[in-house]
Amino acid sequence: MSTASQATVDRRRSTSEIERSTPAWRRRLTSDRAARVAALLSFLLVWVLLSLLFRRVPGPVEVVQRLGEEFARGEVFGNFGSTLYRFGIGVALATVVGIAIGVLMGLSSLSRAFFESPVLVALSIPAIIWAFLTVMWFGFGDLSPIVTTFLTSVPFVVVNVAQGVRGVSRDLRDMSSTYHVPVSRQVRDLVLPAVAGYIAAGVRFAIIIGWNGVLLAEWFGGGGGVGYRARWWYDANRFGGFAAWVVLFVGFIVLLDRFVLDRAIRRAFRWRDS
Amino acid sequence: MAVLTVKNLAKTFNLGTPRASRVLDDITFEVRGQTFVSIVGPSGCGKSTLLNIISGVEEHTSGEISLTSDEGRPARMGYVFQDPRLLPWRSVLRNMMYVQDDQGEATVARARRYLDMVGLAKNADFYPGQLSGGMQQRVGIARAFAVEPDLLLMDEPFSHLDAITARGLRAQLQDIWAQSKKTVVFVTHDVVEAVELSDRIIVLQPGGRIYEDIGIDLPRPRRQTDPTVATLQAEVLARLEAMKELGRTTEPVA
Amino acid sequence: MTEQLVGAATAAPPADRDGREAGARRTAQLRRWRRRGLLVLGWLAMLLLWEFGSWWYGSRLLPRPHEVFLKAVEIVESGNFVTDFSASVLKTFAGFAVAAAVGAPVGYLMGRYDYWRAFFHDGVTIAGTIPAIVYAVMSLIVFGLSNLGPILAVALVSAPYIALNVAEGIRGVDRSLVTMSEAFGRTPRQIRREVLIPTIVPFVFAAIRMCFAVAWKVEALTEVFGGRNGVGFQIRTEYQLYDIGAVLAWMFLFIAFMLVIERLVLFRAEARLLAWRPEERGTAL
Repeated sequence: MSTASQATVDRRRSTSEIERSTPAWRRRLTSDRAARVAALLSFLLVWVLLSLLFRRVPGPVEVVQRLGEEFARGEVFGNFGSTLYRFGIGVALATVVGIAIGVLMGLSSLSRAFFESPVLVALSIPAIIWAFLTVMWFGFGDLSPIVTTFLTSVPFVVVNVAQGVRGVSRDLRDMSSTYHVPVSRQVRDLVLPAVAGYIAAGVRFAIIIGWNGVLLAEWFGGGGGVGYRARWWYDANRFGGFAAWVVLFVGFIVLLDRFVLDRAIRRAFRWRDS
Repeated sequence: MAVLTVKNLAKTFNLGTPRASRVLDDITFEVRGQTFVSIVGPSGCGKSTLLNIISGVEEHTSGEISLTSDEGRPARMGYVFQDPRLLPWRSVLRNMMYVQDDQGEATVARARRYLDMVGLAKNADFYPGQLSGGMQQRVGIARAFAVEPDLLLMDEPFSHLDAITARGLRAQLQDIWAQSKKTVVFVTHDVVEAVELSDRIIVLQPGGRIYEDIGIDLPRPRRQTDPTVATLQAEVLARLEAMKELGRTTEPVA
Repeated sequence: MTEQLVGAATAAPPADRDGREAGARRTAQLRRWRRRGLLVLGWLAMLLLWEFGSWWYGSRLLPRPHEVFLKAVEIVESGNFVTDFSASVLKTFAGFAVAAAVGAPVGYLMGRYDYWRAFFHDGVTIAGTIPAIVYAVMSLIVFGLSNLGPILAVALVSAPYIALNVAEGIRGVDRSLVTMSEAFGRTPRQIRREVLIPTIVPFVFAAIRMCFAVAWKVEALTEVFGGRNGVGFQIRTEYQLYDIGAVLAWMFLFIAFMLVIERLVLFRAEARLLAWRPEERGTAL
């Protein structure tokens, strides 16, 4: 059980000494950057292996070629433009409506009772159903992807904002009313900073979910856009072309998430994480 | 009989860096079986570090430390921490069995016996979350005694409890100790507590040196209301006050 | 002065206090009724909106609620749904099993070692943002028309969540319990089994609950694209026949069924495994 029985130790090495005695190449090999490079290399390796294993899976080289061809044909920017237009309107609408309903639900328990079930139902309806329905209702135009984006993403904004508003501590609100802080200043200094983070998180969710919605609606609709173009390649059984589009729309959402949304959220939640 | 020998022990954190700080310096003492030894000193004098080194959780920088048990088998240690440190997902009894090597019937019976001694026989199947802080600490004490340790280490076990609960637990600890006669090394910053419980008090001074080694020769059981205990407590306190003065004057040198 | 105050407090006639209590009870009851009324109103508003939509688009493009309800009854009565539902549920759980088998060890590595954290971090976060349609079509390309496609899609969607949550859980392990175990001479294996794994169980459950709602949708989506059975397959078949009523009926049945599964299977299992947590104990006993 014990370890110290008859132990006679003169001097053990401390952790800093051990660190100094590790050779530089080993430290470099176990650094974070090396790990990231290794991750990237193993991802490529797995991809190549998969493409060798499954005949239908296109390899990296083929995908890069197809990507180049799509750029050369001028298919990329036009389709991205129309998709971003639909996606932007859908998400903007979802943000505005979602914040309005979310604030209502957060402030009054009665409006929460009213909106609770509709939000629950909306959360559980799959995007594919909205895509099917809107394509039938609105045909192959811009309206179907816009409405699908809006309907799939709005419940996520509502839930997040409502949670944020409810979280504004009762004590702080009571404190403000005892000191007779004017309502406008209460909203500006108390409610908004506390809720901003939740709004940002909700919008991030909405963007990720809505991006899936817009792609689905374009896939089943016929009005152009990146989803439509990806389906065109898929139907033609040319999976290389499909994979090239996957790279594009995954790349888009990853860049948006990392360089815009993530920063915005961190800014909005500064007060909490410090 | 278990013998703990500590010789010229020193500990320096961040050795070899500009932030190096020496917390223990040239500590030498020996504890022979069935004694209750307290290590007393102001906060930051290295008491807890010394205990961690004895238990093997932390490593020392130089010096010797050894623990021998009578039958030649490896010595067993028990530990009571400042906080209860119970696994919240295990019942009280399973918590006590977790630290046992032997999982047999006899060990279970022993664990139950110690649980009974701390007055928690009825709570064997409770989860720690269902017990109060004082009860949890009692489980921690029972757990440490139940491993039948050659050396029992206690790190300010009552410092997080309210005064009344702590007083009750001190009395209980005296009773259990009187029945089991383990070798105990007890760390505390509370001199009054140390005098009430121990046979011997080792006083550490800031900088991690032994300032004084005081024997306490009072009959047991000791109660706080006893005037002789109170007199001795006042005397030891006065000596510590003197040490603080000394600490202040020698600080620039250290 | 103080005596007077005490006297005033006790002198308050008990009848008055009872009256005030009854008043408070009445207000509370009124509030409860208002809440219930609004809850019903919420459902009514949804139905009304739906009825309005069917009137606007015609019942071929958006069937009326009672038509969909009758369709659902028809499906249930015919008994067809059992095989499709069980197929979909089994595929979802198989996908979960694969995701847990891959995601949990990855999360463990990420939580324990800085190197593996850096190694997996980017991939896992990116995998979490990839749209579900990509997973669905990719699984289809890899496996063609088979049951393996939906399983792979569910696994791909769930694994990142599970990995992230397990990593979070491992890093949240109470260090003081580990030192306690070391002080009592426990072996690394015992510490792993008794301290680390119980710590991460709630995190794994949170992950499973979080991604269950997403997972069954992705499962259905993959079946829509290329399943040979299951709810998604039925939805696609009915859609190709332009029977929107049947599409909606299948969807609502599936939603209801999945909510029941979530309550019955997941909540039960969680309550039993986490009985030690004070907030879970009420449901477990």
